Amino acid sequence: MNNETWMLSRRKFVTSILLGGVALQFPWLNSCNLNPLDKELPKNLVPLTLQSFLNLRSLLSILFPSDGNGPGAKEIKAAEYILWVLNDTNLDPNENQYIVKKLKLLAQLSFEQESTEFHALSELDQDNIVQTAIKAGWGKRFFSRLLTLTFEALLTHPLYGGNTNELGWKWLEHHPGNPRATKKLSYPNLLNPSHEI
Amino acid sequence: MKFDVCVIGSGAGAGPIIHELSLAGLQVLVLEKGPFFKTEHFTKDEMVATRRSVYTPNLKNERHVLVKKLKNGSWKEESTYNTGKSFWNGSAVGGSSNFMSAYFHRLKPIDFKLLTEFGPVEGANVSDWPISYEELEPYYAKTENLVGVSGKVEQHQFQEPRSTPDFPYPPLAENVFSSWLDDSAKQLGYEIFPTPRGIISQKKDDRKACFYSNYCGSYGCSSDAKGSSRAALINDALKTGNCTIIADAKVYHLETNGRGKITAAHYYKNNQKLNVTASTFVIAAQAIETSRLLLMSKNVEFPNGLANNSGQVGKNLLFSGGGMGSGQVYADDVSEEDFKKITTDGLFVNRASQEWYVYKEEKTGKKLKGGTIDFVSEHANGITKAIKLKYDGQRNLRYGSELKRTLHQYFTRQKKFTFEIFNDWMPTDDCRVELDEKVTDKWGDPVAKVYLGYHEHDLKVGRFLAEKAENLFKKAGLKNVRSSISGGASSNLQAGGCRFGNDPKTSVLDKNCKAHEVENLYITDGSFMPTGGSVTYTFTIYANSFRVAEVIKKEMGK
Repeated sequence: MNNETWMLSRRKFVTSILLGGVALQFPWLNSCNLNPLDKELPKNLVPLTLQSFLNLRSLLSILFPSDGNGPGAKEIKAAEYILWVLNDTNLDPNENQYIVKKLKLLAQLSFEQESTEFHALSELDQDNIVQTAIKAGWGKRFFSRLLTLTFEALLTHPLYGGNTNELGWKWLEHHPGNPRATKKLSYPNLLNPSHEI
Repeated sequence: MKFDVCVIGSGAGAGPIIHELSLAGLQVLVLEKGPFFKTEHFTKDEMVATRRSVYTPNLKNERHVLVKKLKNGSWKEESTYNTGKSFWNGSAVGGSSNFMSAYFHRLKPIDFKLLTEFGPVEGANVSDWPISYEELEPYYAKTENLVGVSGKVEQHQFQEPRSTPDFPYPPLAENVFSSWLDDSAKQLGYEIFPTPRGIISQKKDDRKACFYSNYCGSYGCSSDAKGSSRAALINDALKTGNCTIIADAKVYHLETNGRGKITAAHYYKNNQKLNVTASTFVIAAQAIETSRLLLMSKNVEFPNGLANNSGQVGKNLLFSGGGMGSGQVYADDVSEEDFKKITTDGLFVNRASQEWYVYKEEKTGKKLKGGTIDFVSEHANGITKAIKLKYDGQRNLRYGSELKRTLHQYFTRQKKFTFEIFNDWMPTDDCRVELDEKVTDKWGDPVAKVYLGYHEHDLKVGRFLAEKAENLFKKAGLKNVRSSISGGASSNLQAGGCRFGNDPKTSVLDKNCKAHEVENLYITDGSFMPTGGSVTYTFTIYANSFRVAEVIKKEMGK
């Protein structure tokens, strides 16, 4: 790479950082996929803000890491799966609101302890925050709830958005049984199959 | 259209009535609160079967208020909506029999006369049944044939008398672990025998044989091998053209004519209030909901609820005493070949012991009623297994690489087997159904408030049986053998609340399960049981419902 090309690339990089940083300041931008740094973000993040979603994704990677021993939260798309859960109107709205609230609490703790967003911290610092939250009490139940949903993402049929390419099943040598789920017969499509005879 | 018989509910208590009366040419209407899932709707999708409210009502719409007795003697009341722990079973055409595990043990003759045989238990309302085992036996045999029971009769000291030499279907294929248990039992001098199952091992008419899917309990059966009320009975009833099923129809009131006779069943369907008339009404909505419906059907004639001038409706509710235990086989402790064999998918363990159905208490020398131990594999549900690993032995949350290592080890390097203990749940004043005064369902009707008090006697018996089961597992070489006996109530094992008896002052139903106070009302789910015996209830509910069907047929000139 010659010097001129390097400068051009660097300028482009710095500009994108600045634009990204500016974008994060606007709440109306936070709820949609406008972060130029992350093409893997879901199109719709509601009910989370961009920061909350990024924090969730980082938190899940601490709770269920990509450590070389099978898929991590990232590979099974646990954060995206949880976003689907948060948008499920059949579920208890209080329980979903609980997750939203506790993500805010996590962000608050991160700012108090490290003066920045949770997702911007090193893994070591993120782990420290997780341990602080567990010791404080609220983290234990919150992370436990997230792990339950991560297990769903790991072990349900891929049509629910997790368990990419059946990675979870393959890693745990889990045999899900037949007949397998189909879109038509899956939740929540199966909720109203009745007819009179 | 006026129907001959209106049946409320469609599970094990309803299926035989629907089947027998439809085949006899009577016009039968079934009002079922849940949807009509057909066989083709059932897949092995853990999300549908256990993780979301698909086979059970959504707690946002319908819930229970559970009242539990704490160790300090005080009572704690909580709505299941607040705890998130559902107390529903399968709500669908065929009821929870669609999702049962189908352990089909008969009651023993001694179960029909608990008071006579063992005397009163302080603080419990033990009562003899108004019928004998001999009166029910032909209907057990009928259930074995029609619903389909597989197994092999092996003589043991509490083997009940039978009119047929063996089950109509041969035993289901077994996991090699069953032979480990057989060998260990022999060494210990314990009696174990093949567990009869309400699952057919060979084709029967339109129903296919079990295909060993590895996902049985909690799941609908995709081959109809499981003897659900829907697959085994209702499908045949529909073929007669005499049976009409209205699904998603929630009955909320039974109207009477002021002279002790029901004239109409009122129900909700598609946000409308509708009603239907019939000559005879049969309720089989499962014990808690049956009592609730009667209590909700108050009027001038029955100010305390239908058939409840005795004040007995909702009383003496039963669950099952006992608990469960487990042990593990680690891959490192056995040969690769043996580990491969015991982890083969789908094969059943199917062993049980009733050696201590009656036993002598060592300390007092007193004869006590014991129970049944069923030996099974851990359920294959992946998410359920994973959830149990979230906490370590000290209740610390596992996460990160440690959690992943634990998960991988558990799923790939060990196999867990379990045992389930069933002993009598003493009927007491502390276990009953009432209507909640504050909490209502989505239709605005009061929900069932269920008092779940248990008797200490049940724990004593359960612990005795658990010790025996643990001995067998240890002898078979299992590690981490443990058990948990508690007074916790399992919602899938419910009976009582409208006990049958000869005295209208102390019972709701007569010996034929007809209400003492209502001339055209029968109740055929497990509500009739004054004591539940020491086995799961479904087989007996089926048999009794076939018995009552005979009575109704005669009454209606068929």
